Amino acid sequence: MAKKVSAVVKLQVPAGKATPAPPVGSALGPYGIAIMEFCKAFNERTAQQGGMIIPVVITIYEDRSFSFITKTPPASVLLKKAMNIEKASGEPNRKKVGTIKRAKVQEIAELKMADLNAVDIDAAVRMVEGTARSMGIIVKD
Amino acid sequence: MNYWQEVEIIVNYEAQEAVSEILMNQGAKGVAIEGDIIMQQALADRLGDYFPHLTGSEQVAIKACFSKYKTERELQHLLKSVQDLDKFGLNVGRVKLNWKIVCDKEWADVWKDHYHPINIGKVVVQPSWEILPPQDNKVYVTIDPGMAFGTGTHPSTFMCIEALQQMDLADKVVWDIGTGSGILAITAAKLGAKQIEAVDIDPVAVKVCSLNAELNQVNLKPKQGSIDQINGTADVIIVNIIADVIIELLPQICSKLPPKGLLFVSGIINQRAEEVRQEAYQLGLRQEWENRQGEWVFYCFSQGEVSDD
Repeated sequence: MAKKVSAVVKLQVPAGKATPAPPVGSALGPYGIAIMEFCKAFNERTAQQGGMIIPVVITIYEDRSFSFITKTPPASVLLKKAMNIEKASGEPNRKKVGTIKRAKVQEIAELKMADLNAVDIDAAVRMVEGTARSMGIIVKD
Repeated sequence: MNYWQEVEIIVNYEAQEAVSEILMNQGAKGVAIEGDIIMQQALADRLGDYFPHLTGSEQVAIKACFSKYKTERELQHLLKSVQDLDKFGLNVGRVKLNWKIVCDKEWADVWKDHYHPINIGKVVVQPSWEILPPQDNKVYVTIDPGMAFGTGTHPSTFMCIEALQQMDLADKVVWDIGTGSGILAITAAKLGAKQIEAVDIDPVAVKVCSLNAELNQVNLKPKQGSIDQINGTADVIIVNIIADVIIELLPQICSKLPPKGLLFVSGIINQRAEEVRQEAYQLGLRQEWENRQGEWVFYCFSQGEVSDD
C-alpha cells in the first residue's frame, strides 16, 4: 500500500528489552502508534543480541502504522567492546580510560559507514574518532 | 502514573553518538533521535513511498528521560559536556538544551484514541477493543492496528472498501496484492466473495494479515510474495500499493484477469495517476470509473466489456 511517511524516529535501546517506558513510550506515543506492538516485535527480532544497545529506525506512516529496521550498534558501544571497558570516562579531558589504535577506529568507521550518513570514510572516521576521544579514549597511530 | 524528566539536546548530527553516550552515562535507559537527517536515512533505505519536505538541516534532537530529575547545576554541566565535544574534533554546531516533565499517562493508552470504528458504506472497520453492537445491515471488519499498513483510515484503503461494495461479490474470486494488514481481503470475504487470495512481499504483513483473518473468522491464508504466487485467474484483483509497483505489475495482472474481470488500483498519488491510466490503456484495459480523495486516486479498470447481468 502507498506508504506516506509522517515521521521517522531513531531509538537506541537495549536489544530484547524495549518497554513502553521512556524512551520508547515518550518518543513514539505522540505519534499515536501502538507502542506495545513495537516493543513485542523489536524484542522478538533482537532477543539474540543479549541486551546490547541497538539503534532502531522506526518509520511512522500517515495511517499510524509503522515499520522498523535495526542498525549496527553505536560507535560508542563498539569502542567499549574493542577496549573491553564497561563505561566511558565521565571526565574525558582529565581521566583517560585507555588507548585505541587508529586502525581499529578505521575498522569501526567502516562498519558504521552505512548507518552514519557520513559522506565519505574520512567523515565516518572523524565521527568515530571524536566519539572515542569524548569517552576518554586516546587514539594513537 | 510515573513521571520522568525529559532532556532534549539539539546538536549537529556528527555529535549524536557522543551525545547519546553522555546521556546514557548519566543514567538514561536509551535515547530517541529525530531530525531531517534521520528522515533522509529512511528515504535512502526506501522505508516509505512519500516523504515530507526535508530542509536538509544538519541538526538532530536527542531526547533522554531520567526518573531521578537533574538539578539545574547538573543540567548546566551536561550542556557544557556537549559543547565541549568540539574539543575532541566533533562539530557540535549550536547546542541547545531543553527539558520538561513527562508522564506515562500521556502515551500509555493514548494511541487507542486514534482508533475508533469507521463507517465506509455498510462496512464498519473497528479495532478489537471497541466492538460495536452488531446491526443487521452492517458488515463488521475487526482490524487491530499493528505494524502492517491498512487500518481503513487512509484514503487509498477507504476508496477500495467503497469500491468493493459497488459490486456483487457472491461467487467471485478476489485477489489482494500487497495485502498489508489484510483489511481489503477480509472485507471482500465478509462481503461474500467465494474465494480470496492475498499476498504481500513483507513477512510481517503476512503474519499480521493471518492474525486479522483469524480475528474475523475468515478463511484466508496469505502468502509471502507477489502476484506470481497465485495460480489461476481472478474476477477482481485489488492492488493498493503505489504507482511504480502498479505499473510494474500491470502486464502480469492483465494475464490473470479474464474477460469481464475487474482491477482496482489505489494508492496512486495525483501526479502519477495519468501515467498509470495510460499504461493500463496500452495493455487493453478499459477504465470503468475513478474516485479521488485528497491527493489520492483510485481506478477501476476492466478486461473488456462488463455486462450488467
